[in-house]
Amino acid sequence: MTDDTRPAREWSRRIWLQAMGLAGLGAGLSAGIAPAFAQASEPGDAWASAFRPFDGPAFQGELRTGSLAIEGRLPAELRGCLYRNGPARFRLNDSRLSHWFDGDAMVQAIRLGAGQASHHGRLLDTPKRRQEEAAGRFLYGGFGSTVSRPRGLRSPDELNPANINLLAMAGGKRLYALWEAGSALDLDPDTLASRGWKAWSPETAGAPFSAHPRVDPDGTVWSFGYMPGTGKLLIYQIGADGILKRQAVRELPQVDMVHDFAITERHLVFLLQPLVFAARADLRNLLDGMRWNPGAPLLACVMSKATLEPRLFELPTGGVFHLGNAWEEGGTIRLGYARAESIMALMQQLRVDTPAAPQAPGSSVWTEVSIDVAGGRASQQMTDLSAIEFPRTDPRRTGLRHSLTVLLQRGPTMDPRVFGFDTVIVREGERSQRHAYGNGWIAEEHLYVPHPHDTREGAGWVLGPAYHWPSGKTTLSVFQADALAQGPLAQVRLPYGLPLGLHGQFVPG
Amino acid sequence: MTSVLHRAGLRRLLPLALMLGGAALAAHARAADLTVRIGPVDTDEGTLFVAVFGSDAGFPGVVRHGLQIPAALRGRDGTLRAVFADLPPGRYALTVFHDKDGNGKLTANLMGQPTEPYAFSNDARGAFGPPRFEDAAFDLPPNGASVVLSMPRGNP
Repeated sequence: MTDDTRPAREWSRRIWLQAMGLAGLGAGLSAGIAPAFAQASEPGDAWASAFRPFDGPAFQGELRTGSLAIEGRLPAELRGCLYRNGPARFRLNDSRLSHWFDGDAMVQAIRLGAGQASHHGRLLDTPKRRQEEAAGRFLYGGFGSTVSRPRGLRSPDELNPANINLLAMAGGKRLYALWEAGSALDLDPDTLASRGWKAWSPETAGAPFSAHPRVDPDGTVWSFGYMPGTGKLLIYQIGADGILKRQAVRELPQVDMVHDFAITERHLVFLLQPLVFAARADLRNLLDGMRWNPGAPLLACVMSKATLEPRLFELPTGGVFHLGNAWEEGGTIRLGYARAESIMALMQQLRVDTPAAPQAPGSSVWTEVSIDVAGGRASQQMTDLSAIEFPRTDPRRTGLRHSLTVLLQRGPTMDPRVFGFDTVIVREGERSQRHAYGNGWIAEEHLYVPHPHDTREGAGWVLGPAYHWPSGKTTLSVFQADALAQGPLAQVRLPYGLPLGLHGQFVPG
Repeated sequence: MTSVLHRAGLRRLLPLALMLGGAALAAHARAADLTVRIGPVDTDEGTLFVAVFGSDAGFPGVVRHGLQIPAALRGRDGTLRAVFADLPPGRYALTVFHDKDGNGKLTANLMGQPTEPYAFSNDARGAFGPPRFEDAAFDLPPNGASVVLSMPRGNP
């Protein structure tokens, strides 16, 4: 196949269908063929357009390119693979999933090295997908979708789409696709083929494993799991060798939805929000059973890594998805988080079947927390940085004091009919550098990649994809971490659009 | 009472079936046999615990009438067959789990989620907890009934 690097073409649907018909005649011929009609003709269709190519029978589960066109120069030292995960497929024959969090997962692998880049994406093989393809329709409402004649469950992993994040271990030799209400899915890092659910121990088999584990600089993985309505938080400590060192259950208030946490040298830190789940037989999905408890405090829960004994600290009421890095100064824990007044409205608006959810991300404010552990006091300061999400920091400094925080922001000029973010920020102290993608772009999570031979945070890079809806194409941009405002060092142009995803990890190689 | 155990190996379980399923209910003039096909079971290890409920009392956790069948008695197709003999006709629900680790109970993980294969009659499943008796219930007419308890492959 020689057309891997073929410049983008606006294929009509007919041409696309013809191409797929031909592709069926020869193995491997589909590689490099871009799904067609991805582009949106108007802003209200921007989000839906990013998923449409993956909904039809034309998409056979994998996309692959050879060496891609690059504008600018990729830094020679930037070698490795950016893995990203996210919901991609929302339609199966006549049935549809409506909530962003519920689509079947597609993992993207963008490999960088020697100044070259290539893409490989694969729809993940899960028991859910197999059951549903056999049935010819979606069987589970999941987090926030509603399906007719839903099938009941024997275990949460039956509906686990493994579609939120990834965890890389053993220098990238192990790769797991993560949901948060079920097991981690073991993937082959080269082929992205599924190897099955990961059981870290018999006692945690099938148990929830967070989509946001945190990795100590020594490679120790800390994670947790929650099950709505149980009042329990399950803690995992996994050695760099992949062997579970500790598992513990703690009974806590406000643990009906815990999406993220943070670690320091000596502590685990959770922000427990006043979101209450009540099970009812007639629930169509999980979100249906969630209620916000207005006015109740946000609880900072601090556990010593040694004992895992929880201590609770009250903060003003609020909601949270994502925390930044945490660290300790004397007896004080410091961390930042994207604070919302409540996350209920946002969760209800994250639908892929409605054109836009205008106000949603505008309410999140970057907020800095101090927890005086010995003194039993916690306080927070809201910064002037608002409409932000997806905080990322230097993985070498997880749990240690860091200086750079990468964030996405919704710029003031972004079309109100288009949901999401269009600007990348690198925050250092009170100062922020910005890169605005501009009209027609939706930015996805950008992460920080350290320079392999330079410990300074500024020497590293910030990289992430953005989807250009008028053309239906995705571009990966690479920035110098301390010179974001100067624009990208390099931009890798994909010949197609990727589904708007959630989180990613960079594995140096 | 006639045996409906078709696999030779199961015949020795008949007394147990009669004792648990039948003895307590033998006083009833009209009695029906409930034939249960269970499986497929993916290993010879462990024991299948089958329970029958005549009402929602105790369902599904408190078992009054039950059978224990070694998985090694599975047939070539992986299924097992058992009989609750001489039950009064009425409405019933069945549960089964495969006690693979031999601890005599349905093993769960630290969050209380079962980690051994289990099933309910009608292939009933819960959404946010176990199914209700009514979801798993079926009629046992005077001339008896056959019910399938279809087990998931591997662990749940």
